[in-house]
Amino acid sequence: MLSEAAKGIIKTCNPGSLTIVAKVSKRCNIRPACAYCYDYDAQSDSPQHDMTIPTLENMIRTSVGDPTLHKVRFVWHGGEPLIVGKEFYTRAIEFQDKYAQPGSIITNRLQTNAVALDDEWIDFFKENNFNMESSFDAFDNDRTRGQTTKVLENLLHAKERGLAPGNTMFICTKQNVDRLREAYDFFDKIGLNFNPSPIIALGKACQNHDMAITPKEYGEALTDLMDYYLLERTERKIKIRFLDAIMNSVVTGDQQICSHGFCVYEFLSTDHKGDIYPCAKANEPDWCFGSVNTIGGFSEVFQTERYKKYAQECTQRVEGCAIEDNGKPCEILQYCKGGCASNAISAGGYSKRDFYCETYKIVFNHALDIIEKIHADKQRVRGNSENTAKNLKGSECCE
Amino acid sequence: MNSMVEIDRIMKLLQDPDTDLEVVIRRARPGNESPIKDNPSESEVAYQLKLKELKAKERALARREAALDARDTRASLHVYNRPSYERESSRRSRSDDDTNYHN
Repeated sequence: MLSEAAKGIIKTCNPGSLTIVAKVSKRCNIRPACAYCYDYDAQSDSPQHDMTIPTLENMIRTSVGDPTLHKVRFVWHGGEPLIVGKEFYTRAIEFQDKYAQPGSIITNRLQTNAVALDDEWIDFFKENNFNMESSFDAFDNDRTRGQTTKVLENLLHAKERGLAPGNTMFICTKQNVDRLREAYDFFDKIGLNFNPSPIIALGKACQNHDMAITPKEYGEALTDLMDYYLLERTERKIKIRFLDAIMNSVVTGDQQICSHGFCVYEFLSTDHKGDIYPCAKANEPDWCFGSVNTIGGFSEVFQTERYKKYAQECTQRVEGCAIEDNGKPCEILQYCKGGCASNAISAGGYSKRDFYCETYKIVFNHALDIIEKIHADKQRVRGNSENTAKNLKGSECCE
Repeated sequence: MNSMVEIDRIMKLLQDPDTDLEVVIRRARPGNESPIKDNPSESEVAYQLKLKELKAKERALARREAALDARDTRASLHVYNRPSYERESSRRSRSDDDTNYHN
């Protein structure tokens, strides 16, 4: 029996649409320079860690060919997803066309480090309606990722050719988290959307403890950026997806990011072997739900005992979030929806609170502070207008 | 790129003198003094009505923006839509990408 607080959040079945984060290779062309790769595996830099064409076909057949799914969104991910070459994606498009059901909708988004992003890739993405996203650490990029000049040139060239990344990730570390205004100015100057995301304490990042940030540090840095972005800027040329989603959620109640939307039954990830996991950031063998090479359709995954256990643990997380440690109801749960399952793993398991719970409280409360301030300002203006009108009326009487 | 980023639409909506934010704030912070606090069911109804009104206004602004964008980008759209996308069996479109995966 679900509590009242959880009722509006928990989903108990697939709604007919599915996002698949397809990790097509474990290889990456910015290793070993990249300081924080959460997927780092020194043994994986060979083509045998790429998804094969038969696995690709099975992944697409079992998703877009599943009669219960009318919308399938592919997020092509890695490693570095461009490393498998254009032929791989040409075949992906062929398979999508081959297995698509009448009236279905298929979208493609690709997350690249942009090192290999040349004119041929740009042409391919434009011709095939791929959305592109990237990562670039602005003034900090030399230290954290490398190949700065090349990546920046490639991103700006893509933008000139009409393929600006929908989002450019900026990874927040101890060394840059207090410089988000500077990061905003950097991306604003070059006209690319950006999104400050926290370093994930997995893989290579575990070797660089000095880069770790606390949820409080991340939250406070975001509120400072919110003030800059929402209150101090009179004109915005770029957007910050996470902050936009926060404001949208508070104002309209709609969720725009998976980490605040109870992703169960709507998101899955496959690795290069075709094994299916809850998320790109969570691929522990205990939580493998099967393989695209053996299932008939993705909807089968939701019927497995292991998936049901996963859904149950995520539900427990939401229920556990309803009441705070001080015994009071959590006022932020209606917006964060229990947070991100993968972040909960960092905190000890899918039933545990999202590691960034404190961040969300800080940021959502700041969004509410901003709305209250706007409301108060409007009330003041209204009050002043009414007083002026009264005074005018009074002076008319005297005359 | 959109002629107005989405957050501008939200901020415009918030700052609109005719947009009443009181119920939204009190819903989030029920500790505030409020005449609707004493009757939660009334509060819920009021919130849902307010939410509906806010969403309608947001959608109207979005539609207006989309119309402006369409006018600006119509000339270039054909470049992205090769004939195979128009087949009846399925649709593949950049504008349909509402993927909310947060990397």
